[in-house]
Amino acid sequence: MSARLELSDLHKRFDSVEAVSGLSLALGQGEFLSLLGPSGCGKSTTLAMIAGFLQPDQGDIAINGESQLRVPPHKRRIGLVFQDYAIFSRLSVRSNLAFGLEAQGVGRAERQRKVEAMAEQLRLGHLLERGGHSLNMSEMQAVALARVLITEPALLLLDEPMSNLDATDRADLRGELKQLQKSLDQSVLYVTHDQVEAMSMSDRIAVMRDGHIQQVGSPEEIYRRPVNRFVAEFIGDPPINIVPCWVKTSGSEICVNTACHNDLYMGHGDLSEGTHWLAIRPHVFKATHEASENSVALPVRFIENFGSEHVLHLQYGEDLVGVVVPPGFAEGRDLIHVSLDAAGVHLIDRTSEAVVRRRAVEVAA
Amino acid sequence: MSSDKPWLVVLKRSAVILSMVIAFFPIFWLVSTSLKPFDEWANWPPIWITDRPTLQNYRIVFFPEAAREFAAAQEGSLDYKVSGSAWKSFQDSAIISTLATFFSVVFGTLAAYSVVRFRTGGENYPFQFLTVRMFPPIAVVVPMVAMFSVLKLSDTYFGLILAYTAFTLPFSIWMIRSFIEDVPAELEGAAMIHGMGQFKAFLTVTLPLIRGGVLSTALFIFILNWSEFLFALVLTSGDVVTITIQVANYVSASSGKLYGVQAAMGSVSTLPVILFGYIIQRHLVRGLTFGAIKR
Amino acid sequence: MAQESLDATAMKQAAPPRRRGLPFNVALVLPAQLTVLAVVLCPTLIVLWLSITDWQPTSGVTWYQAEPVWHWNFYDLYFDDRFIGALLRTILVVCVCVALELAIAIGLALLFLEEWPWRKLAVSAVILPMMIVPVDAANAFFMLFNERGPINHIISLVIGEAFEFSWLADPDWALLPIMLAEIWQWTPLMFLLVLTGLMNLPENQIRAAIVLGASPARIFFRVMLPLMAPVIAIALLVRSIETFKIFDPVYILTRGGPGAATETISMFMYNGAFVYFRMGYIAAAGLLVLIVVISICLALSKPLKRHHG
Repeated sequence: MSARLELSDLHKRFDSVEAVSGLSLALGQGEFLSLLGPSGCGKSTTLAMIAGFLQPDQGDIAINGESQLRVPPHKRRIGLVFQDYAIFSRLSVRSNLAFGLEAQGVGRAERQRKVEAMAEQLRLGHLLERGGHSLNMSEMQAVALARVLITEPALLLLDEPMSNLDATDRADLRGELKQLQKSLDQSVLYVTHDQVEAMSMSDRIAVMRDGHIQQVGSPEEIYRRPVNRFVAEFIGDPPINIVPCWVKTSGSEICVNTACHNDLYMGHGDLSEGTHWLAIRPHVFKATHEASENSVALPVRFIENFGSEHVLHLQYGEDLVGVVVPPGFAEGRDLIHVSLDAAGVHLIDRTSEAVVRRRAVEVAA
Repeated sequence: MSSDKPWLVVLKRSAVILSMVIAFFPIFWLVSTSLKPFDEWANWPPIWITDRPTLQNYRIVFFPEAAREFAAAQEGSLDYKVSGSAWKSFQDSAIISTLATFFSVVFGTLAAYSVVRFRTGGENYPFQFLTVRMFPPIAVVVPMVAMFSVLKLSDTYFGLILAYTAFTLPFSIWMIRSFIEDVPAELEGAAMIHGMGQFKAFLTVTLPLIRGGVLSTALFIFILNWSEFLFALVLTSGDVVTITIQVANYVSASSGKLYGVQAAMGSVSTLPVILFGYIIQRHLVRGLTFGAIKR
Repeated sequence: MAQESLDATAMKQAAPPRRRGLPFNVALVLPAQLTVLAVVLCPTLIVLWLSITDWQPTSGVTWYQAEPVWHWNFYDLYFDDRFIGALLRTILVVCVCVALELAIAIGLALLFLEEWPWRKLAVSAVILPMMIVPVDAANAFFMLFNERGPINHIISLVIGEAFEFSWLADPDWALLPIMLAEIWQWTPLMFLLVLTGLMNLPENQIRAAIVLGASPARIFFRVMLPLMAPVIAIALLVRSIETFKIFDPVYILTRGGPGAATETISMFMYNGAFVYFRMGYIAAAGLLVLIVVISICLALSKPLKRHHG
């Protein structure tokens, strides 16, 4: 039922801009894969090529091992949910749901049965007789999803389906969508610029930038082991801290000094001495009220309150860094003592911006 | 849809070319006939493109002495209506169309501004202007003749200007209204905060922004005025001659056998309309649907 | 004339405590309103009077002194075959022309929907007819359908023998060139309207229909046409109203002849008023037509209103 999708070495150029260059990606059967990247990174172009609205300049798109390049959009057995949902505004919700079945020549009774079943599954029963133009955004979203799922697509493509919803609807929908996908064992390619959506629902995430895939991996992997500065910065909320550092090597062992912390041993590696970058997640810093052996006192500049946790913004050399603390931790204090362990920081090469050394947190624990 | 079979593409292209040929053919015939010498006008089989192109027909239209010469050569071919120069009809049409356009656009802009920004007369008020455009002008023409005879407006510039202004007002009000609606009222509000009067704010803020639209409206209305026939036919009787009347005169003169000359007059008189029409092509749809359909 | 009073009112508006006179916004609509009243309302009142008289300017009596005949004009109209014929003929012309214009326009617009080289230029070329002065267009058709004109020539070439038919002199056929001239001139407008509508359709709804497997015909009838309904309604409304008034091509091509074979309602009224000088009678006819047209328009103006928001 559900299908595999392989993209190999896709290229697409618009005038002088290479929107997608050399993109290769495989989506397994029943997998939920997110294509994550900022706007203009080429993810929508990729989607349009998979759907068949655009012809790639080079490369191949295969579903279940069969090339789709010469297959017209409607024969690709793809379900597509558009960012604006594209509900047929002049048709009723019922006709919207039945549209795909009608086009496939499914008989009236069968159509009726399937529409009712799908409406029940997505709790749309009360909307069936409404006109497409009268729906609100979250209703449109549900109808759009139902309209494609009813045709039992081999592959479901979702193009930023939540960008028009408000925050609470989004949170609800993330759970529902994930459950639905699991229960149907549906292969899903989910295009988004929102890392929270990608992190919370995906089996794997492909991070994209400027037409290139940066990294493919499980949400855990992408978060713990970003391959470069872009991925590190794009994933995680509150965002990762990037501070300059100075690298000394003795033999092959790398020792790092930052503006405030010295002698962080990053293990063995091959890196030129001099200035590089250190990426530190906000919760990797250890904040204490009392000074300890290798802590430094940092002045508090401002506090962001997220309810269950606070983020302190501390002066760190010439930069500000964010540090996650429990609520009330910094009340009435101007200085906070912060220590930093080499475990859990990522050392980023200044020129290539690739993460060159990291010591995993698991190891340190 | 994009991957069409080759024969289908050929079919589509042929249809497009055919439609273009049909669109051009009557114009082509008009221009081609206007260049034919007298003896080829009514040839059978008709001559599609003459071997002996001449400007004689245009000369007859514009120069009375050429017309007289022609009339003398072809006895009885020209009656008194067309023995004069067509210059007068161009001059009359230009004067009437320009002034009527001016009044229509000025009155229309003021009314449109009032309707958009003050909701003057309520939601249905602008529709009463549309009714002007809905009934056949011929139904008002009889009483207008009666009225004009009392007011001594028959066969005068002012009479036609008045009629044209009234009958183009629905277009100018509705078109300009749709342009003003595109400009947020907040812009005028911002100017008013700085102490500007409301009407002055409209003149200095909004009007420059919709200048292009107002100009297009003016050209559009000029086209309507220049092309108008029925009012000119009924409300004039020789003192005032518009180009449409002149064309009709040529067509009806000599029982409609003056092909070359009427073709010449037709070709020249339609030129300004073609020119202006293409200048405002972008706004034609908006104009002809009273602003209901925007580009 | 109204300009000075306007400026005065504008100045009053600037000074905060407004004293007397018209509200500013009403003063603004006044010039337009007065012009329309002068040219529409006054004549309408005069029509009401004339329609119950038998005024004939040739009789030497001025119109306000004409003898009333009360309802007899309307009574005569009811039994006037020429009037009823003109009315029915006009309705026929409206139905045939507008329907054909719409059909051709939709077909043509679909051809122009896809992107292809020179498309913009081709659009400009195809809409040339609507840029022509109607009287000149009629003039051109007058020559085309001449017995020695190119239409007969083309037919001769096709059937292989000389074909000299006098289209405009034949009562059965004379309406055809008139309708063709009308269709030729105004199909481009319909085409532009439909094309604008098609180009503004939400692209994703069409794409969604494609991915769902709908055939082009199904996409057109189930998705595109319903979305186009308001635009088509406006196009039909505008064109029907305009075509109902058809006069220029009839006057130039046939003047309603031969006999009354091509008399549309406008032509009938022109002939009645300015050839036979039966002003009172024609005023009554005009009144009837006004009532019919206004009631139809009131019923049909809803789509225009709705679309305008």
